[in-house]
Amino acid sequence: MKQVRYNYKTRVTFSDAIHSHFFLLRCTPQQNGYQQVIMEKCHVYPQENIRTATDSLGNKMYSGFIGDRHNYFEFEASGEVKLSDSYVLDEKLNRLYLYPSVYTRPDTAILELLNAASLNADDSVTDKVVKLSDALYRSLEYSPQTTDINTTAAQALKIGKGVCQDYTHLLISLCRSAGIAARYVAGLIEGEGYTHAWVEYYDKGYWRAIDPTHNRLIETGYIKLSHGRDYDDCSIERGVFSGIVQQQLEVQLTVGVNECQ
Amino acid sequence: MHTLIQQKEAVNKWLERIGVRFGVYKGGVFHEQLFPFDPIPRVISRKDWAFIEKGLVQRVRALNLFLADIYGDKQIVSDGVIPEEFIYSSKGYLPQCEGIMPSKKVYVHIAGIDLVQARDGSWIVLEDNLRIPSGASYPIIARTITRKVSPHTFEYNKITDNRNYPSLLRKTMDYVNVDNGLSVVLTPGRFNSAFFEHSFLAEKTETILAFPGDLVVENDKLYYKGIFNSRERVGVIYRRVADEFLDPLVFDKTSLLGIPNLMQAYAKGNVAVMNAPGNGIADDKGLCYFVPKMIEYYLQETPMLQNAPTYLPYFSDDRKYVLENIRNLVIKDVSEAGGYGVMFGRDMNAEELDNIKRLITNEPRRWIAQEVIDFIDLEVLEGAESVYRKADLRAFILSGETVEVWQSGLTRFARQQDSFVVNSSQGGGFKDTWIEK
Repeated sequence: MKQVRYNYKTRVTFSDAIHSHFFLLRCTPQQNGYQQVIMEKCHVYPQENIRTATDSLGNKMYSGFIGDRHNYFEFEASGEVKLSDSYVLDEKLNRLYLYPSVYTRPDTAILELLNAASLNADDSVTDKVVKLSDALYRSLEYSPQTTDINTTAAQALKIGKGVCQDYTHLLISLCRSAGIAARYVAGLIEGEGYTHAWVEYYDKGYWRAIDPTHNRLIETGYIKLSHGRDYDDCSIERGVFSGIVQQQLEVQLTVGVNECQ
Repeated sequence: MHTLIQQKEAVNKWLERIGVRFGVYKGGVFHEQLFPFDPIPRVISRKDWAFIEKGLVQRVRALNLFLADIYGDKQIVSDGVIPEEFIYSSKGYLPQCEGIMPSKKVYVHIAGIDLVQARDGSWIVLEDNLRIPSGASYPIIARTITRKVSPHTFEYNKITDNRNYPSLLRKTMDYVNVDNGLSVVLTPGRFNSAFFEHSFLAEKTETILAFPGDLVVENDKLYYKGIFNSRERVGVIYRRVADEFLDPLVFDKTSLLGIPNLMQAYAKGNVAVMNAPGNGIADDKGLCYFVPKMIEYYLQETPMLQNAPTYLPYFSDDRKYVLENIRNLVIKDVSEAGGYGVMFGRDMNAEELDNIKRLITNEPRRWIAQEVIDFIDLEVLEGAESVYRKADLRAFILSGETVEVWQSGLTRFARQQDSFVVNSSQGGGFKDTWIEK
């Protein structure tokens, strides 16, 4: 059991003023059997009335509307979370996570990779997932800026490079193709400076977690924000606005996770 | 009847003048077409209609219960009536709608069910349209004009008046309306294929025709923006915008037609959305096979209307049958609509047949196959000559406090001889549908 403090801030700058801006955030930690939220804050600038709701998959959302013209949009989430020593979630399976989604639909190359992992029928679920993650780790090179948020699992494997989102989509695709329920998790980890993504897989009544980008099973230290079929269900920030804008620059100002003293 | 035939040109001129048209995209370019009207009505006897009516009400009640179940406990899946794969692999299933209970528990406010009459006189369901069924406006207008150019016809023939559709629609809207707010019809805009109908229905139901920018969600409530930035609360939205474009924060993020955060206002029960988002799971072509089973399961009744004999290659016995008899079958891609993705085995050459067989083997869930129904031809005027063409009937069923079938419907016919494709986007024409008093 350890208690961690997190702080996470993002700023989106627009080249010209925008207005009629609607946003939807999934930016605060989930309360579940692995992590306990001790305290949380979420600030949005320009400050406006924020509404909260829970989406159909169980994620907490903040939403709002900024009518007036503004040149930047910033949100900051911070708080403290108590993490248990093992990342295990006792939850009934939503069988949706057994089926392909837009980003994780397998193609022939993914199915070949599944074959190459040579899973045995008597392997435990965790053994299978570890084998798949190993096979994936050898096939994909970590490389920022070669893929973007719209890249699918199949496209990433074809390019042979990617970031945590791509590793996660690919491992989900492999797991589901092997009959293992798997879902996308967006969250925070120590020392990265970015938000992170990893996989939860379902094993006899429990969700467990693996980080395919680092090719390791997760015990603790990870803060989970949201889960879903793929990236699309977990985007930390989604927005629409009016205005003719040349560029939209998103800077993650800080992502810090520190153990409380 | 004779006077009606003489008035064909007059009616079509009126239709053109009023602007009864629909748009089609061909090669990415938008064209507006007139929807050709044939003056010879389809006449359905009181006896036939009484049967059809009962069968349709039964079907819609079951479909509504199915949707409440699927976005809730999914009993029909756990009881093994429908394999879960048909739910979770369907494009029409929207997990974002899980657990949302629409106003007054109505999902299928307006159903458009396509039927054909076989040579033995029986009526068979081809498909259910439970998302945005269109076409009700055409028979109303045709009737109105026909009455104008040939008033005696309706004195001599005992025909049920069909001009009450807007009042049925309004009754449904009023029933589900939340907090007595405004009633609006949301159109994607004038480049939509059915824009004419959107404006017509808004006018006839005395509701507001809204364009995407006119509606805004604030504090989980939907408002209509008037002049000087005024806000008026909306209680029901009859949206003619597809689910995937409805809310850019939940579905397609590039959509300019949607209303941001509409889904939250809807989920919190602050506005009725008709038809309910997520209905696509119930009119998925792959699910059509299971509708008679739904009727037995939810209503403990015997289905009155039958489906066209359908095979699901997903089941290995059916797959074997389909691959062996493909020449006699019509193959449909479950993810397509509007007459696209429909192939007749008998029209395909050897190479095409091999290709479709391979696709069916590789992706069995994506296809259904049906026996080609030899449905009756209706008399159609072509110039001065009368010819016979394939026709179907889209019946409209409105659900509010009660489930009511509109006493008319859209009869569409194929323009070419031997063609079975009657969709207006594929060049078909339409007739008025008379129900005997």
